[in-house]
Amino acid sequence: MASKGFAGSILQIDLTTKTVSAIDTSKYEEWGGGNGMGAALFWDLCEDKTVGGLDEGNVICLMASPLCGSNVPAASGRTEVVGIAPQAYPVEWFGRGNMGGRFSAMLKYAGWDGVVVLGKSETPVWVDVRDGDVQIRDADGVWGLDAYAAQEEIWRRVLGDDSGNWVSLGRKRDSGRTTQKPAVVTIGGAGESLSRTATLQHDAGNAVGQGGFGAVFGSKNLKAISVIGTGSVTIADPMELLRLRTWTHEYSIKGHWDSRVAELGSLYAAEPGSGGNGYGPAGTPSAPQGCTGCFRSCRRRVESGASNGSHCVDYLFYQSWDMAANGGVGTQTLFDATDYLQRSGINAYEVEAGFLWLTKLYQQGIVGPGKTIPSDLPFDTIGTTAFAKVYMDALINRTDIGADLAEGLARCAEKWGRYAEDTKTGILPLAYWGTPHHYDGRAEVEWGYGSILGERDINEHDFNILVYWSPSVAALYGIEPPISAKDLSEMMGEMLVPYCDPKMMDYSDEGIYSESMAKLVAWHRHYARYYKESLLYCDYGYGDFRNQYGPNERGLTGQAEHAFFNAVTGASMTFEDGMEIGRKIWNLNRAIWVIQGRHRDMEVLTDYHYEVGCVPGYTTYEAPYCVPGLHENGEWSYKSVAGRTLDRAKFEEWKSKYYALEGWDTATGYPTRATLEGLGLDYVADELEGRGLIGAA
Amino acid sequence: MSIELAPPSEELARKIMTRVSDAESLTGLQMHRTRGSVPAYMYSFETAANFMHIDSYEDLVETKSNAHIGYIDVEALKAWVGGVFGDSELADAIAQATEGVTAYVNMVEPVRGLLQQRLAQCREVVAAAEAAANPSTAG
Repeated sequence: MASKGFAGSILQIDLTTKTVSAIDTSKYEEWGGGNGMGAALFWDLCEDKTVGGLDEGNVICLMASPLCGSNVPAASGRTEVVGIAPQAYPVEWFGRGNMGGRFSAMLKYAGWDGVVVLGKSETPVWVDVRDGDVQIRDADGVWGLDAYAAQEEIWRRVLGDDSGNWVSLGRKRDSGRTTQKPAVVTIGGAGESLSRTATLQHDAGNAVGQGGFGAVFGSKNLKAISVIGTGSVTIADPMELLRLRTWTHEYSIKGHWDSRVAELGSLYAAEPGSGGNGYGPAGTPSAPQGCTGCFRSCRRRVESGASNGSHCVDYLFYQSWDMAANGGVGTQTLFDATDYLQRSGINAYEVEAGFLWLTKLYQQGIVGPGKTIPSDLPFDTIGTTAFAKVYMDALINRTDIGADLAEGLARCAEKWGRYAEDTKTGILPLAYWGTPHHYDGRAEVEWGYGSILGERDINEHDFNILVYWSPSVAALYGIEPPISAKDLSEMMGEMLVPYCDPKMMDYSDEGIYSESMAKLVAWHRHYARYYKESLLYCDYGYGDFRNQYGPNERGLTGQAEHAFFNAVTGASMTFEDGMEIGRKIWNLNRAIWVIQGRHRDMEVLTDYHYEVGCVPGYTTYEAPYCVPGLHENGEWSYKSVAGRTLDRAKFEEWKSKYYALEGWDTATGYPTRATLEGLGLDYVADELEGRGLIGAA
Repeated sequence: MSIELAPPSEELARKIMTRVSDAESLTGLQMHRTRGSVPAYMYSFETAANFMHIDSYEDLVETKSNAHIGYIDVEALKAWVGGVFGDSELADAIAQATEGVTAYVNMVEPVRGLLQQRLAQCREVVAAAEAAANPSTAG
């Protein structure tokens, strides 16, 4: 019987046989939820882990956690998706994506801890989950609709004319009726046309962006999964949950409206609506909007509805183009382009990087009518709504260069014979496994290293504000950062258990190749795999290290994450226990990648990280990039390392330090039997050894 | 300090109003807190004139959703203005306006002001030249 917080069953859908069954969650509880549980399910259910992402043998898991639907702040609404990811390059690694909204909460209310999809339907279908009643329905009249229209059509089919009124899904004493709309995950045109850049879309602005999982749905002829649930989540200690929620409220801006401190900027403490689209026409009325159970409400809704819920890069992908075309101000174009992206179900990062790259090639006379790479796309109109639509339509319909772009920028560049050259100069800003540059792996190495040791851009900002944004903005203002580098190192040295090494904050030219940096990367991967990708704490709240409203300006990390979990489930976990589970999940992921062909020789960032320094004004990603470190004379300071390149030989030496720390074979990067058995993964060690892929001790 | 630029010649004005090639382009950086920094390729003087920007420190660290920095390396900008467009007066004015200034926040307004001043002058000069060349279409 599952612990409190869990629903008790995982929904398994076989689209080949059109059968529905339930998996007992208690068999997988040790993994927490999200990525850990999904990876364990994938391990058990995917017969051939070396198939491609679009192969019907791929298994895709959409997972909740015990915290989903429970009102744990910043952890009640996210959903983790895992499976073989078509976007990843050059190998379609077992990958992951994550989205906000209300899908995972609704799954829990329906009585499910996740959904596992196997096989492939012969014809397009959608899955209709109403509490325990699960039907695989013909997608006639839904397939072919954009992501917003598809959701509206499914709402109509499930609710009929009762939208907004009480709907009865059956009679139970404490459940069976709701006024909610179904929570739907769907694909747009990009997923239907099997683009490797296709997203899974949910409600207005939630998306599983990276990985190409929209194409996985499309390859299975699966248009959407709709869930409506009328139950609730059983909490082990409701009073403790409420106490914790009240306590953490004091760490947010909402506890300090009259005494706001604009300093350092803990994401946990940031203003509501602060991640939503604040551009577009000046004076556009808007209000904050949030995911299920979250107080942060980091998104926005605008009066017109355009770009509702869209967050960060979902609208920023076109911001500079819109402003450049309109005298430096944002316009309705940005709202419209954002909505078109979401309706189409296309990865915003791919579009943004594509615009950068193709603009260069167009200006250099390489792409265009009659050029080496012929294209009639109107690049001279970039910055208009019309261009954004034409570009995205070409990708969806695989017309013009859209046929190549639909395969993802990496494969597109490879086909055009430009991958090596353009990733060496950096005009094609793909940094890690075919995913676009996000933060600079030459400067903020925990980002770059963590990404290349994983399977994609990590997109986890835990250290980013402290080690980059805050000191860099301070430098641009000519002021001292709000915390000295020395104090930061001491603070983090206390908080980053189990390593507790202040030199984990050393981003100096020597420090980035140190064992201390190996500890930081390991800490980050373990923390993220469990707390953020499995228990599903949101990146817009956690990790919270320094919080201007916390006692002694200390944040919640190390105090809150395991406490909420214990309140919900009745467990007695320590923070360190969770870190160890994260290490276990990280090793399971690693084992899958090794089976797929991972070797240390492949874990190399793209060439511009090693080749391109800073020629201000002419190369990519130069600017003040101030990071802490023992930069000079053994003293802690912040220093701009913009223009730094990585040393290939030193990075290789550092990888060996990292592998040794993780207990992996330094010659191959494979986990050793001792490491796996120490984590209770004996069966994984057996599998790797049977394939000749176990690390030497 | 307010620096008044002399009106440009028609030749200089037309050159400033013309798009440049990729080899002559300037790269700025659009900086956002959570999205990261993205290159901004500038193929026109006008784009650069509208690009330099920095929001308040409070908005930037509090993660206001539209808080951003439009960053251009001022040394690169001087070289671009002087080298690509041949506007040595403007390049010298930028140097004068930023002499002794180290923080970007204190450069944005004076430099952007100079670029906007020059842009307005160029539009006037070109418009006047066009009107003189086509008196029948003059307003």
